[in-house]
Amino acid sequence: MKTLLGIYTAIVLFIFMLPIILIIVLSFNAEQNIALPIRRFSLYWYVGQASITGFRSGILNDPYILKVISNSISLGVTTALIATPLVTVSALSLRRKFHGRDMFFYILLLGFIIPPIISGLGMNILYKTIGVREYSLWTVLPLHIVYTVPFGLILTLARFDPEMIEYENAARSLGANEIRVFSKITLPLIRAEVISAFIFTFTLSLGELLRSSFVIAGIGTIPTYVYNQMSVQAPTPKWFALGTLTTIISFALLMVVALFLTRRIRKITY
Amino acid sequence: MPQKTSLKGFLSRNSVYLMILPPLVIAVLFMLAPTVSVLLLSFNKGAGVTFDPTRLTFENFFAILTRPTTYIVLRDTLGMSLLATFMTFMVAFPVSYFLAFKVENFRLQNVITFLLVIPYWVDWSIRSISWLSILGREGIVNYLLLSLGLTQTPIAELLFTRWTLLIIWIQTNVLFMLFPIYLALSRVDPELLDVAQSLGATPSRSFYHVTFKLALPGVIVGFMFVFVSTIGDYVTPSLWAGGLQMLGKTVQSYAWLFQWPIASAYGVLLLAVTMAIIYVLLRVVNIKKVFYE
Repeated sequence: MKTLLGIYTAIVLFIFMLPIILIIVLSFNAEQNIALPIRRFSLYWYVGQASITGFRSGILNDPYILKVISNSISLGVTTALIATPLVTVSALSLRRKFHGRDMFFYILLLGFIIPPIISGLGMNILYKTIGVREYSLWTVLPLHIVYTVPFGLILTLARFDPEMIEYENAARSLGANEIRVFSKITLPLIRAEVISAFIFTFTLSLGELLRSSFVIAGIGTIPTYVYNQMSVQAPTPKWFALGTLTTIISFALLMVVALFLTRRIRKITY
Repeated sequence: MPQKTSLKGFLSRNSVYLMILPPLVIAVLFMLAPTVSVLLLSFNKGAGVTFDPTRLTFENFFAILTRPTTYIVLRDTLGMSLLATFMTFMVAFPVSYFLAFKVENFRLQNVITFLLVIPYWVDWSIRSISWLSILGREGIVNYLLLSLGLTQTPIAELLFTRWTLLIIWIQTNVLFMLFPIYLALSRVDPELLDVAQSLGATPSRSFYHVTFKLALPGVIVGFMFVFVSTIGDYVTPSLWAGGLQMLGKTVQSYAWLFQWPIASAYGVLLLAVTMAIIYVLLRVVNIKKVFYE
């Protein structure tokens, strides 16, 4: 049974990595087509090429695309930076019994239950009612936060160690105030959950399209850019280059964050 | 703990209310308020973008509910969503089970989950395009079928059909299904299975009564995630299964034409359907009991 499941998992993993492998491989295709086989490899889609009609830029030279990428990443990081403390605070407070605990949980959960179009359209209506006329990249931020918090919350809650509150109470009975209890006991114990909440909220924000397209303006994020391009243009390996680049940047960024968070938490506690 | 009558005492005893204030405020402002806005606007008529409380009418709902196309769209939307959710579950459950029970090394579990997260960093629209390379006429699947001699001509029906939509949806959502189930299963003590069997249960009985029932909250959460993700999705069906009209697309079409009241009315319909299914799902298992005792 174990080997059967193992083979199945390997197949599923393969099917899932297949698009990514294809994307990475095809981004080096010298020609326009996005299907195999590849006859020539080149870095064309990344760095562009000088031709008779002038320089045609790859994604690394195209300031527009670079701005799109940096938009996505700034939005993602900001979302994660705001959503992660919210998630942590909510998860920690849900451990205690208080009036309206269930209602609080359901309200938070609503963030992803409400269909994205309604969120987007509603936010649009709300903005117009308040008088916000100009949209930008950051008008999307509240929607991203509200969308990612429930996911992070469920992820964090599910991994909470029930023993944790005993340690906290022990510290309190020894005279520690709340801040010390939090920084020396709670935070180190939930370190892994905080990091995965950060990663998850960042990833979710990067891929968010449905809500964002309603209240965004300007250059946009990667999903909105690709979505707009897809309706007017046939797919080219340039987008695959974009995808590959995003993956590498996300990977590097998250490694940095994970390293930073672990070291930071260690500094508070030792 | 000593009962303090000072402000400090009051604060430390009621600190939890202070803690929940920020998330609550943000949730109310940016989630409840937009939803209420949509609800309110659906009672206006015309092409306005802001709510006019002096002109309330049920006209929009009357118009929507008497159109036969509404019901066709509703049926298609619900059908595809539920089908996609169920199929995602079938794909994800064995993997979650394998990860939670059969992979001993906790690190390896994390590695495999991480491997599954990596594809998500490539924006899903780009990932969907890569399926063109796999399912297209010159794609991998056809290439294999042709070279193995199973078909004479490339199959063009792999793309832009309902099946394409399902495949792309499953691919996009499997993580949302896998994670909750994996988390629920990893809380199950494997010794419980041995206990059940030592009490005389057959493997299939112990699987059902112990494993599945304990995993049920995770399954329900996964169902909720995937169902909500698919039912509101207006982009994927329009790009990949053009013939299929989904409720979300209807809302978006009217929104684009700045007919926001009608769009809101359709939105309310969508919300009602979503909430109904979620309510049913939440009745199956007591969710909150799982997440906090």
